[in-house]
Amino acid sequence: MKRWANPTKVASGKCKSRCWKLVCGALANCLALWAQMPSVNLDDPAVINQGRELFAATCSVGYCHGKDGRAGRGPRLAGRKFERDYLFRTITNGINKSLMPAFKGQLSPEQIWEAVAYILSLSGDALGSSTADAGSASAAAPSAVPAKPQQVAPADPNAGDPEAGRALFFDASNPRHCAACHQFQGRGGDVGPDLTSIGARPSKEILRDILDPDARLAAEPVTVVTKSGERITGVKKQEARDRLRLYDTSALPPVLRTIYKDQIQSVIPEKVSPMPHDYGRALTRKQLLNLISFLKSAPLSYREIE
Amino acid sequence: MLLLVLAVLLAGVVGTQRAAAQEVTFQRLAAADKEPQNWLTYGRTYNAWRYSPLDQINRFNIRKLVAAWSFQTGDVEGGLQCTPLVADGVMYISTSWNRVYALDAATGKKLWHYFYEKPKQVAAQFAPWNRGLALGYGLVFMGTLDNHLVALDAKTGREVWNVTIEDAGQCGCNVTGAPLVVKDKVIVGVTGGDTAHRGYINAFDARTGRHVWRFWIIPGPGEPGNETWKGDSWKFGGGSSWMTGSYDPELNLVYWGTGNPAADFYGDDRRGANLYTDSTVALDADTGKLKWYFQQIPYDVWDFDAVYENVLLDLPYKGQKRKLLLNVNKGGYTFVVDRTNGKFISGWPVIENLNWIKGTDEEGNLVGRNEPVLGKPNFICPAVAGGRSWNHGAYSPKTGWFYTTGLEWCESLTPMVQKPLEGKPFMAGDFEMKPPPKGEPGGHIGAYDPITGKQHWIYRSKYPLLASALATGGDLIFTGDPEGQFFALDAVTGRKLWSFNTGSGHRGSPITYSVKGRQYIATPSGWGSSLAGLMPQLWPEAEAFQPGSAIFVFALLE
Repeated sequence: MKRWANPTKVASGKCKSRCWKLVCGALANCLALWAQMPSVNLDDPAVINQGRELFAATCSVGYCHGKDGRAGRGPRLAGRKFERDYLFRTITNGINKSLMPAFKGQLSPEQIWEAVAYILSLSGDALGSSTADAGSASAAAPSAVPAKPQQVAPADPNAGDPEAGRALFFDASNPRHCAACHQFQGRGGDVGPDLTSIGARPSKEILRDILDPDARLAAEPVTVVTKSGERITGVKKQEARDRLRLYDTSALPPVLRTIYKDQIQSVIPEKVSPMPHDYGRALTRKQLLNLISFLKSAPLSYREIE
Repeated sequence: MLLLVLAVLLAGVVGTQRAAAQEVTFQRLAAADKEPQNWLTYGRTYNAWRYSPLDQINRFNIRKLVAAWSFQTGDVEGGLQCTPLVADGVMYISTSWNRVYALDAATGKKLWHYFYEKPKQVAAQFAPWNRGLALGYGLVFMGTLDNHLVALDAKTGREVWNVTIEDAGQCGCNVTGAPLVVKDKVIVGVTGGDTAHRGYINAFDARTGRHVWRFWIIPGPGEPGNETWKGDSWKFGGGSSWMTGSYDPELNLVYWGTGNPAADFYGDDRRGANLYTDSTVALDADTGKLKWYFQQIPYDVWDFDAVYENVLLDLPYKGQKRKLLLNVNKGGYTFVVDRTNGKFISGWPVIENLNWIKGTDEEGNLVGRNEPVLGKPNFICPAVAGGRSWNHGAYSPKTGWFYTTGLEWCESLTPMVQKPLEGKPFMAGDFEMKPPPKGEPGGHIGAYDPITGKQHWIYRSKYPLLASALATGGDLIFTGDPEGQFFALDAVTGRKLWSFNTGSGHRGSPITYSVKGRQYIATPSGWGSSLAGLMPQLWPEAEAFQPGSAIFVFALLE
C-alpha cells in the first residue's frame, strides 16, 4: 500500500547534506500536508451522500455511532463540531487503547474523506470546508482510488494459488491451521516462528519444514514436570525469576500455561518439534503448493517445490 | 509492569494467608441449591433460576436494609455488568476490560486482583464488557474481550492458563458472557452474530485449558442443517452464543441459546431457516453433540437473538409433571419447550409493543411475520435493542412465577444489501430508535405464570430496565434502573418496598449470599453498554447519566 507511505520519511531518507535537509524538509512538509488534503470536495452533496451510505454500513452499525451519528455505544457525532483533519486522522488511524478501530487498509483515503464530509454535514455547518479550498485540493491530489493488490490469476491450472494458500493458512475452522501458532504480517499466534519473511527461503526448504518439522527445530521444545506429577510439553514463551510461561501444544489451539518455579520438578529438553507431523497426510499436494505459493507470494509450480 | 507484578505477588501473599476455602467441585456446583450461603455459578444454580432461599431479609423487615460496604473497581469505562460469585465468604467479580477482583464478602476488603493486559486487537463491536466468571477446581475462569479464555488461581489471582479461542481480529468476535463449568470442562460462548463469522460453542478441559469439543452453530457442508443456508452464506452467517447456558445433570444436557444470523437485516443471500441460529440447542455435556434443537426464529431478519438464559423448570402441564425450559428472546417473546426433546409447549410476549410477528401457532411456528422491506424505513417493535435485553429474569419456587423485565421501544429499520468481509460488521441495515405506538417508551418488570404468561403484576419504569432480577426466599425481587436506583419489590404484589441510589445506573446482575449467618444483597452499579449509548436517541438527558463501576452490598442494620 504505497499510498500510505509517510511522505516525510520518504523525502527525508534521500537528504544527505544539511542544506539538502532544509530543502527536503520543506518538501516533506508540503508532501505531508498534501497527503492530508481532501481528495474530494467535502461540500459536494454527491460526496456527502456517498459518505452517508458508507457511514450507515460502517460507522453506525454494531450499535456504534448510531443512525446519522445520533449516538450508540460510541460517541454522538451529530450536532458536534469537528476539525476535518482530526476526523480524517481518527478514522484512518483509530484511537489507541480505545475501541475506535483504524480503517486504514479497509477504506481508501477517498472513502474516508467521504465519511468526513458526511460527519461534518451532521454538525449543521461544514466546518472543514472553510479551512481550505477543497475543490482545488481535489484537483491537486493524486487519484485516491487505492491500488488493489494485483490478483494474479494462475495461468497454469497446475500452478499454486497464493490466495487459496492464504485461506488455508488462516482457516480458523481447522484447529490445526497455521495461524494458530504462526504469525504472518502481524496476524496469528506467537507459538512458532513468525513466517512473514519465510518466503526468502528456498521453496523446497519450506516444504521440508512443513513435512518434517524435526529437521530444523525453530522453537525450543521442553517438557515441564510439576511437583504434582503433571507433564506439560510445549514451547517456552517467557521465563521470569519465579515462573515459566510455556505453550502447551499437546492439543490445539495451544494453551499458554503459567507455572511457578516452586511447583516445577524438572524441565526436560525435547528433540521433537511441537508442530504436528502429519501435514503431509492431512494436506493434499495442491494445498501444500498453494500454501508455499502464499508464503512465497508467487504462483509456484510443482517442479519448484518437489 | 513491574509494579503490577509486585502488586499481584503481594495480593497473592495476602490471599494465601486466608483460611483455605473448600474447592468448588462439580458435585458442589450440581448441588448448589444446597448451599444457600453461596452463589457458586452464574445463575446461582444450573437451572438459571437466580433464586436464593435466604430469607433473613424479607418483605417485613426490608426497611432496615442498609449499606454494608462498597467496592470501587476504579475504571468506569464500559460500566459494570457482572454477576458476582460468592464461595465460602469470598466474592469474585469481573469488570469491563477484564479485571478480576477477589473480595472479602463480609467487608469488601480486596484479597487479590488480576488485570488482563489490554490487547492490541479487540472485537470493537462487542467490547469491553464482561458479564461474569465461573468457579471450579480451585480456579476462576473468564472469557476475554479479545476472545481468549483464562484460568486464574482462586486463592492468588495468578494466571494458570490462557487459550486463544480464535483470533479476535479475524473473527470480529470475543467473549462477554460467563463461562459454565460442567463436570471437568469449561464451556464458553462467543459474540460475533453481527459480524461476518461462523459461530460456535467450545469446551475446554478445566484443569489444563486443552480444547475438548466445539459445536458449530452453523453446520458445515455435508452436515444436516447446512442446506438451510443459501450458497456459501453459512461461512459468514453469524450465529453467536454470547450468553451462558444451563445444565441438567440428570439428562447430562447443556442448554445454550444462539444468536441471530448475519447479515442481520437483509436475508436474501442466506434464504432458508438458517439453522441453528435463534435456537436453543441441547448438547451432550461430554461430547458437544447435538441432542435436539428448537429454533424460535427461522430466517431472522430483525436481529432478535434467542441467546438469553434458559430457565429449567419442573412443572405440571396438562396434568403431568414435565421437564420444561423457558427462554425469552430479544424480540420480547417467550418460548417454553419440553427440555427432554425440544417439543413446543407455549409462547407468550413480555411486552405490549410487538409487531414483528402476530404470535405463534400450536407447534410454535411464528405467525404473521412482519419482515422489513429492503431500502425502505420499516416501523418495527420492539427495537433491535430488544423487547428485553440480556439481563436475566428470575424464577421463585415460592410464588411459582417468573419475573422478567420488558422494554417498550420501537425502531425505524432500513435494510440494505451488504457483502460479507470476514470479521467485519455485517448487519446490512441501519436503525433509528422510535417511541412505541402504545404508551410511553420505557420499561417494566412483571410477574408471569411461566407457562401461560399470565401477568400477575407489573411495575413500570420511566427508563428501560436493563439489569437482571434477583428473587429471594424473603419474597423479594431486586433490580435496578438506569438512573442508579437499586430497588426491591414485593414478589407477591409488585409493590415497591425499598430503594437505594447507588449513584450510577444498573446493567449487571444482583445476587444474595450470607457470611457467618448474616445475609447480604450485592449489586453491581455502573452505567454503560450499547443500549445505554442508544438511549439518548429517545431520551436526550440519558447522555448525561453518570458512569460508574462499583459493587454495593447491603445487609440488615445490626
